[in-house]
Amino acid sequence: MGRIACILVFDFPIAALVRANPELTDAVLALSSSPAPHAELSAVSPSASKLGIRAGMTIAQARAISGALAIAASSDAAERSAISALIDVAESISPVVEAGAPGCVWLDLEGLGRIYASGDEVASELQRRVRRVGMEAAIGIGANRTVAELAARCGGMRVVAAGLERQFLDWLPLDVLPLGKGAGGEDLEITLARWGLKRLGDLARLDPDAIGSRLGRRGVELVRLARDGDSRPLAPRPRAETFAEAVELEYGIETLEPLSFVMRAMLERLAERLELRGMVAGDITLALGLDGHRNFSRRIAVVAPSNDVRAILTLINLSLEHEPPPAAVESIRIETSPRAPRPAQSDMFLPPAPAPERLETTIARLAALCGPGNVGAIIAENSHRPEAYRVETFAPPPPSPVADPPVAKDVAQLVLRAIRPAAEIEVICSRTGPEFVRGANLGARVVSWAGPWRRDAEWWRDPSPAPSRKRAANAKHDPGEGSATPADTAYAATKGAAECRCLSPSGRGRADGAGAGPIPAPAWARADRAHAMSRPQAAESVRCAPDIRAATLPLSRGAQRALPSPCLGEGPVARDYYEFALDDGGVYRVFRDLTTARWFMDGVYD
Amino acid sequence: MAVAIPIAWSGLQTASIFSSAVFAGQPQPVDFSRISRGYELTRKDRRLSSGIASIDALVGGGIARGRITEIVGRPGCGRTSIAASFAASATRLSEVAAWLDSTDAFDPSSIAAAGADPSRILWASFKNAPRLTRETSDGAAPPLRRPSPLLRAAELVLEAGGFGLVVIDFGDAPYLLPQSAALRLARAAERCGAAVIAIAPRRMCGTFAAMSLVLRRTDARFSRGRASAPALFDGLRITATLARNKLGGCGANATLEASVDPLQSVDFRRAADASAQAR
Repeated sequence: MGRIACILVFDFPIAALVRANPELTDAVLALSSSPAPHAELSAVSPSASKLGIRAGMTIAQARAISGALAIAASSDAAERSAISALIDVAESISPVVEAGAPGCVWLDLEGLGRIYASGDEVASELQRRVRRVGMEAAIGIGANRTVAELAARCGGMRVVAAGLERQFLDWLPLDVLPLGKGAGGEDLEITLARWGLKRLGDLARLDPDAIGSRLGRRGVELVRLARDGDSRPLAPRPRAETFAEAVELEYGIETLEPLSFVMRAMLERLAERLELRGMVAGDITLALGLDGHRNFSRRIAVVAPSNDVRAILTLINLSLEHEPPPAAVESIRIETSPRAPRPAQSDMFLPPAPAPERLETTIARLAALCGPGNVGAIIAENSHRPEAYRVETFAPPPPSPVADPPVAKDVAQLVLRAIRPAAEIEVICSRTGPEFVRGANLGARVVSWAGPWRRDAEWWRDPSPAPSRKRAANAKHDPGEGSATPADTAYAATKGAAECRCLSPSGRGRADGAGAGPIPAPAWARADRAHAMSRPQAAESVRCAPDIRAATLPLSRGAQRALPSPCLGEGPVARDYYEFALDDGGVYRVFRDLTTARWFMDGVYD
Repeated sequence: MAVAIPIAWSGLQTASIFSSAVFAGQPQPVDFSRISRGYELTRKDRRLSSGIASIDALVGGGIARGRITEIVGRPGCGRTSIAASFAASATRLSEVAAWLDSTDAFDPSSIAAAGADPSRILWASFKNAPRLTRETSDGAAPPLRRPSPLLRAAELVLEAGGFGLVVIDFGDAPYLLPQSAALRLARAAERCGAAVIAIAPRRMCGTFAAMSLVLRRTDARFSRGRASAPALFDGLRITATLARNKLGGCGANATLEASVDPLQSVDFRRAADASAQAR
């Protein structure tokens, strides 16, 4: 014989409202559909009931009894959330759960004997879990749902032992059953009282056929209930796929801080429910009802599912700060899709790593501080532009055992400090090479220099006609092009398609591809060849050649903004790179854009 | 009155003192584990090496975890290269590092060339971060200053925990950190146990820095394959001075080279030395 438990919350509309507004816990509270003085009370809190306030009184009558009476409207959203919470409590104990009237949930205790030693233990555990979700419930356990519910109606915890159901039912008053009306429309409570029946045992001793002929079908059902109770099995319900908490506010909230305060309590209740079910919160869907019957919804991705209320609230707050709702908020609904918790056992022999949920919160906070595009893992782009990079979501790979201890080196790798965007500079040249560099907050003599290394790539993206082989052939025979001897100058190119061409004065390093023969600069780059400062040409360069001066003289900020920077965006790359050691103590990476003949500084070796 | 105080360590953080003068006849153990917990959250022997022999020798095997280390010098003196070598060492150990960049100067290509794994480095740039000020209600009083976004971010990262190294690149910050901010940073580093490196043009953290490494560029090395060949930039020669060291002696110097291409640079230098000797 199976055992059924019943979770019953008395005055459920009041309990749901108090759950959504914990500050009303001890208040003298009553529910009414209207605040008008003649409106009737539909439910009263235990505190109000102690003072003698009853449901059915008008507000004026109730206020005459207690001036501290608070009147509130029942909240459908709060009741739905409370019902879901009760079901979650039941499902955290047993998989077979059926919801009855609001505030009443049955669960099948079949097979729980190995987990809980007795019915009392189950009942106390259920009561404790209901308290965790913010309500007080009475628990009854019996052989069937009627016995369990009637046991719960007695209040507290009551376990009806197997075989003693009839004995328990016999002494219960008749009004614990919903008597309803008979076949002739008469009130059964009055009829049975006129017959002198006061307890269920009195009703159970009557002949069902005789009762049926007098009171109709309802009478027979009552006799059956009074004898054995409702022995129908529970109808299992599908498991919830989402968890939601909703609140309807009495007034609109316009700022984030009070909204956050309300949402924190909602998230705490949601986290309790999820923890009862052994789940963690996944992505959050926030639906706000706004003033003027408008809606505002937002989906917040939770990369590291967790029940950390603070972390989730931070993510929601940061999202709302980034794009706040356009009007006052009148209702809030937070819905989350549950996820299985992540096993978080770390390896004792591996270095610690940031906890995923804390890392996610930290990244969200950093993004709020410096902008969402400025946080993450910065990866060099696979491009011929040395300044190209992309920012990816930071997700460090799991730590791996360290194979070998690092070997100490004698020489450090020199690192470049990038200047973004590349700063336009003016380079004053003499016959022997660059002499002086001038730019914003910069003015220094060139002490030493190296270069150039030509980067000629991505010309296939240029909408204008690409340099043809014919141009290349012309350039090859151009006496002005690359007058350096082959021993001094080597051109490197990728094999075949020559995707990137880098000019390396000594032929060592700096080349992006294996050498496959000389590939000269394209014709559009050769137009400025006279001013490109490859070393052999330096002797032929003139101080401040006219086109260089024209490009670099307007150094005022406004003028710089007015100048287009085709070399810094998408499109062909035709640059000569240099390293300038200036007398201010720095070694800078400088390039000259061959298409515009303008000089830029894009990094300092540090 | 001579007092002999033998200290017997039991476990990592618990100690007992036996004082024969105070407890005449019967030595009573005094447990000050709470005190030691409050003072020494980090162990000085937990260090993060740079992988560069001269620097490691200078700083006693590496920078201390849970402490602030300043790398100080003018731009172009090798500060970022040294910090990158520590980042490379941390990521090589599968640790996670953070690089808080005030001037958007992080160059992923060269940091990766230094041996660091960019996928293990959380980067945040504060070049365009909004200034955090709090206006007063009446607008008459000057705005109240809040901590800079960079410092706030550093505290957030350290509070998150799990990071082995946090590099704070102050760029060319013209100001010193307020003592309160430096104290908060030091406390956060101690709680987190992460090595914190502050890159700055001058010492920023005052007494709250455990170590200050002052760098100075000695020269920039350019070389030629032969006399008529074009010049190549090889790298920098750097002099590092341990200007402050709470964990040991200070004042020592070391010279190291930072090269654009360390392997070729070494080969080239050896070849040049060999040819010089031959001459």
